[in-house]
Amino acid sequence: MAIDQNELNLLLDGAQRWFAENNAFDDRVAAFRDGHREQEGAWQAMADMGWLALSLPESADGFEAGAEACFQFIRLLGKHARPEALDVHFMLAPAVARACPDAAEALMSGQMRLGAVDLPGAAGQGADEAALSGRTGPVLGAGATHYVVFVMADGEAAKAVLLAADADGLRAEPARLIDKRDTVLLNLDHARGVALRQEDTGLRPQALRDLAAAGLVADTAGALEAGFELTLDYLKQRKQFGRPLSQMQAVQHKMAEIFCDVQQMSALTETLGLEIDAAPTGDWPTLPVAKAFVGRRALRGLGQLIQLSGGIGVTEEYKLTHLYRRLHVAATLFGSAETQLKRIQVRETLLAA
Amino acid sequence: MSIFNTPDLMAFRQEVRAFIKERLTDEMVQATRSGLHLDPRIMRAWQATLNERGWGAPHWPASAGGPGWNALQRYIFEEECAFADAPPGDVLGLFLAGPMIIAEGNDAQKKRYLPKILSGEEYWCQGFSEPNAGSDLASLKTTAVRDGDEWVLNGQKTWLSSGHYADFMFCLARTDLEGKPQEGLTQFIIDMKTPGLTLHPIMTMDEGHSVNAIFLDNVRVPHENVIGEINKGWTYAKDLLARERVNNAQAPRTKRDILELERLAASLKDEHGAPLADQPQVQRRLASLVMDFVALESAVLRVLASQMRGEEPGPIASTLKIRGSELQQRVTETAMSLLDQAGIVLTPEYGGGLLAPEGNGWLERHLFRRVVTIYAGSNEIQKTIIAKSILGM
Repeated sequence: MAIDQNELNLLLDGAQRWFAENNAFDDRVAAFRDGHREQEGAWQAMADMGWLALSLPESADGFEAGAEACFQFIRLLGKHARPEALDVHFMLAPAVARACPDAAEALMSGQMRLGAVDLPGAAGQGADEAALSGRTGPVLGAGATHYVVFVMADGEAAKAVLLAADADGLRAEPARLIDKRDTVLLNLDHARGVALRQEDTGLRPQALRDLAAAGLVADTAGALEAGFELTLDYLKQRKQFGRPLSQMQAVQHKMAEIFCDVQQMSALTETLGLEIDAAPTGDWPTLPVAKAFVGRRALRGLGQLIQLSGGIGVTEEYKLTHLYRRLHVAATLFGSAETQLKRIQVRETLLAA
Repeated sequence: MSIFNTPDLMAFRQEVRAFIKERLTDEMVQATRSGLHLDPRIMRAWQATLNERGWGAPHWPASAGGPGWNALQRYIFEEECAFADAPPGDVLGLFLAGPMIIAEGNDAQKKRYLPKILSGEEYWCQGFSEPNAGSDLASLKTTAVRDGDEWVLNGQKTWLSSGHYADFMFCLARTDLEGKPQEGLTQFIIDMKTPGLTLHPIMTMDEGHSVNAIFLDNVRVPHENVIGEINKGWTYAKDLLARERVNNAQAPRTKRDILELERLAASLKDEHGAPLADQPQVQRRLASLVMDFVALESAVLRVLASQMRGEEPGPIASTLKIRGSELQQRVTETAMSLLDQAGIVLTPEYGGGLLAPEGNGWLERHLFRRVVTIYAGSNEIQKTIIAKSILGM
């Protein structure tokens, strides 16, 4: 990668500070019912700080950071439960810039923002590879000016299309995700965009979709870690029966079990990052494994953190519940655990080397 | 593409594979496949073969006779050995006694003991647990009293894996009765032929003999057999146990077992004659095992990488031990579930017995592996270690 770890650390430190000072997450806690909206001016600020250039190629004045580096940033997004879909930007902007070189500058300045969405079924299929019809699932990145639509056929992405948010034949229906982030459901009637072909992007449509899923894996690693730290602090403070909850063995052992989940989620994220960087065009045998792990283990772990937190853990103003809701989004979009488990072939995965 | 798939690592894998193909004998493979508790003659022969090639202890530093591999090379080597059904090495010598002597032993001890661990000429056992000091190891009662240039040891040790053929025991004994229980312990090397040692076999529920109890009755040990400093044995034991926990994850062999499990599912038929492997619920069960395996493997590789940088694994290794041992049990539980009635009837028409080829040794493995969540510090102890040492609870 063009950016080295020291430069990346500076960027991460800056991001950590900025998130702490512009904590949309805390704002949301105070005004939960209003929704977890992107902050006004956030994209401009992120562009000014150079973040939007992180994964873009050097030829377009980007930092050309690989997946492993991007994951370190995305983990911060998960940790702070940011509403902006920077993960979609980091993971998909390079492919979009390869297919549409003129878009690189707009991507870097934040003028062009990406959302990603599945179009289930074969409804989008037709003679015109760039024309789409049907109703999509929820878009990740509702503030987008362009959507990357993954057209699904028989469970596999048959194509990927870049669609302008104001394209003819596109009607966006506002909605909310379970974690209160804004989303839209797209109603498409022969809406035309730009087909993101493998010869242009360097990636098969399924690989593009897997990159969007990979962003959610890294986001989960951060969110789970944040939930774990929050709970650990709480258990050390909260006293019952005259002593902190953290001194009770039943609680200690449960936390140790969840710590194993946190470690494994983190290790899987690192492995996946290394794998993508080693073979940027695919295949990535760890992807379905890591994405399934989000739905099967990380989600269970966060549920248990709520259990350990007791009553406060189920209240709407408590951060843990927001992280739990966020994990449902990560677990579901771009292939749920059940779908990903079906993709796992025992021999192929275990003998990938 | 996996992280193992670089040209260098692929060439390395080929080199290892070719060596194993050339040197691993059918007798060794059959012995490894035919049961968990191998004839030590077979294990020693394979260890000697590896040592000739300079591969006797992949995890040791090059200065002590290791090959100087990185974490991924080491893992590939273990994987290829597991896939080929090569006999396992002397875990107690290679993973516990050896590294402790490398870290804490003096030059004379290194010179005396390390080469013969590498060559497989001398095997080791561990004298830690006692009848009333299992999980609560620091409460052990075996004493060592100084008598001139010797120490005199009295007490009883238990759960000595390989004790019936080991040449040496590393033994933790109390040398100071004052202070905290952890403060007065010392590590000794004891020749298993020393007068005063009486060994008793312990049969485990898989009908195998791999562990033993031993009585120490005025066992005289020369002072030169003390490892490191007097009364520092607990500190060495903690480091040693952490190293053992990384190995206890048994990732390469579990990978091999999951692959074998898939073959079992393909060979067994349901009531309509269709392979069990075609059933969606069986496929999902196998995929779920693969998911948890890859998560374990990723975490193991992270710790191996830090070990190769010279860092001790420390308490984080407890997470590997917990998840690795749980997964080993889930794999054999799945096999038992797939075997159905063949898994419970010990006659040739059915499963054919604990070691029968029909069951591919799954019954034996299933029964013996109840121990993996108990030995090397039970998983409950591991959770306490994580809670206290890492989480500060």
